[in-house]
Amino acid sequence: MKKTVFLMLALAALLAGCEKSEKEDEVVKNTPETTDYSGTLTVDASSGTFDTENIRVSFTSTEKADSASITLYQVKFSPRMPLTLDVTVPGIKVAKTEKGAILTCQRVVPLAMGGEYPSYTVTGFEGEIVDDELTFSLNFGSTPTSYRGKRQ
Amino acid sequence: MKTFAAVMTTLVLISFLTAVSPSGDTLAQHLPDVTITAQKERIPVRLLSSAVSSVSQESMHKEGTYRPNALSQKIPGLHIPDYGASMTSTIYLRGMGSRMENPVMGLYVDGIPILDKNAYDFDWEGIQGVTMLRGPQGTLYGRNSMGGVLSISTISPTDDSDPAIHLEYGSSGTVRAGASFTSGSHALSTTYRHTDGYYLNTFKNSNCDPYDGLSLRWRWERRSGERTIMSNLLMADISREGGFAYGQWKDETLHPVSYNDEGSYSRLSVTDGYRYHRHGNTMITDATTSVQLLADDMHMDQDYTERSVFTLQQRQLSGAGTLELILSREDSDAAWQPQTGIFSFYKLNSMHAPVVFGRDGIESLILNNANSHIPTDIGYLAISDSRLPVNSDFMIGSWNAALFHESVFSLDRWILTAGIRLDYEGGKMDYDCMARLHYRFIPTMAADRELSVPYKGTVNHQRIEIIPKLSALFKASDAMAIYSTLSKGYRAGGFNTQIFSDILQNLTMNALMQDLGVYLDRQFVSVSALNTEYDPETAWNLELGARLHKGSLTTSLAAYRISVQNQQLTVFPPGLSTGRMMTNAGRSRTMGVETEIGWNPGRFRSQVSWSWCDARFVTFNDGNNDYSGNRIPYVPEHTLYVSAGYSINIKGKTLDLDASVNGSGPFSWDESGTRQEPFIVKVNGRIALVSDRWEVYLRADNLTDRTGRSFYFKSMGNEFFASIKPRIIMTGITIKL
Repeated sequence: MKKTVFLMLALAALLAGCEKSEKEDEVVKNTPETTDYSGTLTVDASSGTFDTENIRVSFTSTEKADSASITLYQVKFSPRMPLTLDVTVPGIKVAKTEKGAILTCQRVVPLAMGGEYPSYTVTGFEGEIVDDELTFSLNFGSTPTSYRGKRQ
Repeated sequence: MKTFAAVMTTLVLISFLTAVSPSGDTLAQHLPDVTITAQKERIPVRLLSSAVSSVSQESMHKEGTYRPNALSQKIPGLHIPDYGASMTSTIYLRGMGSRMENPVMGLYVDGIPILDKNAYDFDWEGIQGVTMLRGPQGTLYGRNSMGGVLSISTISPTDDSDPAIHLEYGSSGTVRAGASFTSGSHALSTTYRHTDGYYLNTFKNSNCDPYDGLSLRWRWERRSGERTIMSNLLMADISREGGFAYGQWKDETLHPVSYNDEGSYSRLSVTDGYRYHRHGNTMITDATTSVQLLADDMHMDQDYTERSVFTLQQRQLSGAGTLELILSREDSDAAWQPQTGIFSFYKLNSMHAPVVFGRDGIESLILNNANSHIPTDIGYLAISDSRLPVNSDFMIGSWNAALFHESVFSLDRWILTAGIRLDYEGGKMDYDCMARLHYRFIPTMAADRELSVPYKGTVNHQRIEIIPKLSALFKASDAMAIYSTLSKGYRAGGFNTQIFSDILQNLTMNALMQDLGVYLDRQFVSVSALNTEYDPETAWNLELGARLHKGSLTTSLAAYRISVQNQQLTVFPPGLSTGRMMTNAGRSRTMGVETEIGWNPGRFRSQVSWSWCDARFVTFNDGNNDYSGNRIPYVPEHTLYVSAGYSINIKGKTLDLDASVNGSGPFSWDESGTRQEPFIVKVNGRIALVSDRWEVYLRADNLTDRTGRSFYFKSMGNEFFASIKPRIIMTGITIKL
């Protein structure tokens, strides 16, 4: 009898331990969070600088919120381009500040058209989030590009 | 609508009360010979205020008329080009018609309406004759009779005709064998036809249009007492054929037929119609009901080239039921002859119509099109599939209910007719389409990705048509009558199914681009399913005519003007389109003159049928071009048939010598009138030795082997023509048992 009670207590303690462990994980775990912005994309193309209004950008932080990816929807890098693209810039480092975050990235191959797109390798990425505004600048290949948008 | 209903109700009541009012005469005095006729009209054909053509059994036999398209030109203004396959049955009549969907001519066999145009073209055997009512006949016949109604009468058990068999053999290994006989309450006829085909497909080095078909007709007829007659007609046709003998028009030259994929058509058509005809004391009751089944399967190389661009299959299984009840006055001598009727049908068609793009089609129609919009420095799209199926399944229901009345008043030398029909028609189409492919964008994608594009939904429509008719006939003498008619007809609306491959193709490209995150400034544009419905076409006909019958001479003359609203025309969407679609083109008008002259003194016989028709768009802008004022394509300006024959007695036998010419044209092949065809005449001849019990003959069609083009269309921007059939010589024997 004592042996049975002991085993049951041990099982209960084990289950309680497991429960606690799951709760601890929940505290640590950060689900990826996506925030949409709408704003103006400025491209310094060889033919001149041109702005495109109402460009949607999604900012998606990773689980630990120390890095993020940015997806620019339906953008073109030359007014003569006969199409627009969805382009994702992955691997952006995020440093939190009081009002938002500082965004940096040295060099990364963006994702477009179903895979990596080295022709538009991103360099010199700098940006920040202050309150509900996202700004960043970068070079898509040799094309300087910047963005300023408001949270939607 | 309330007024209409009130008028109809009043007419029904009056006609009923008149019908049931007591008559002073006994039944025996008035009881007519009870027969079933193919026509709905209550007065003899010669007194109709309408243009009427009749072709006798003997004439059809001599001319080798055993399919509807052989009536072309023999009936003024009728043009049924012989091309494609049996399902084609494109009919032009009085300037109206179109390549696809609903016909402008109603077809009745022993009073049974044939609903499906795919079943119009069948081999005839045991046919007594055909009668064609030309011009809109919408009041009595309803939908799809705006150009006219062709009524076929089969042999009846009461005919006492001799059993007969015949056998024909001739050009292109053509064999035609048939038999017909009557016994007791039954009349049976059957025919089989085989041909090796007339057109060589140079790619396959074999004829592309062989044909094998078997037709069976069984008519049962039974009297019940003096007043009632019942009949049942069972028709079954089964055939398997090639077809689609289209040569490409390139460098101002018509090239031989040369395509690589399958071109075939198989069909099983079964129709059973039951008729009940009763002479009551005061009223005649005519009831007709039928069930109609059609199962067919078409395979078509839709690019008609040696490349594997794309193919179309269209497999249908349709069933339909019809019901008609007509009440009319029994006293045929009365001055007022009213008839009131109801009609309804329901038809359900299950259609499987996949379009399959071959490797050449994937490259030329899809990849080239897509990659032309993508800068080369970004990359290019590749599809690894060797075949890209675009599956389309449709379930199409259509239904109709109609109430009609027609009154004929005989006033001395005048016969006045007034009629009206309220016709409701509805339709519903469920579509379930799917395109699936494996693609890769190079250089960004390392492996293929599967993309599925479903497209499902329902479209439906409902319409009400009011179809009036007024006419007057004046009997100038016993031999001559003059008439005038104002009548309306309509051709039902429907759904475009063939355009769905085009819709799916564009949806797939847009979905693929979206899947890639690439958005072309010029999206792949197509019509949507909502645009696949087209409206009914209606026609108002004003006609003046005269007919004379004196001795061995019969003549008729008709002049008409028809205004067509919402004319249905087949158009090809712009660009490298794979689909065809019916559209309501706007308005058109047709003016024409038709005449028939028959003179048969003694052993000589002759016939002339001629029509002139000027059919033009009043307004038609397809979005790209304005075709107002242009000729309506495919409609011949003239149709002509002239025949002459003489019979010589030789030792108790008869030698028949017959010759004829028939022709049609000129044609415009397209809305712009840039492609045209001159008037084409064919010469035909026949020589026969006839005894009481047998006949042997030699018949030649297109004796001079005249070349010409019978049809035109575009596919993928390429132009194609079908050619008229070459010289065909047949020899045959008929034996009466």
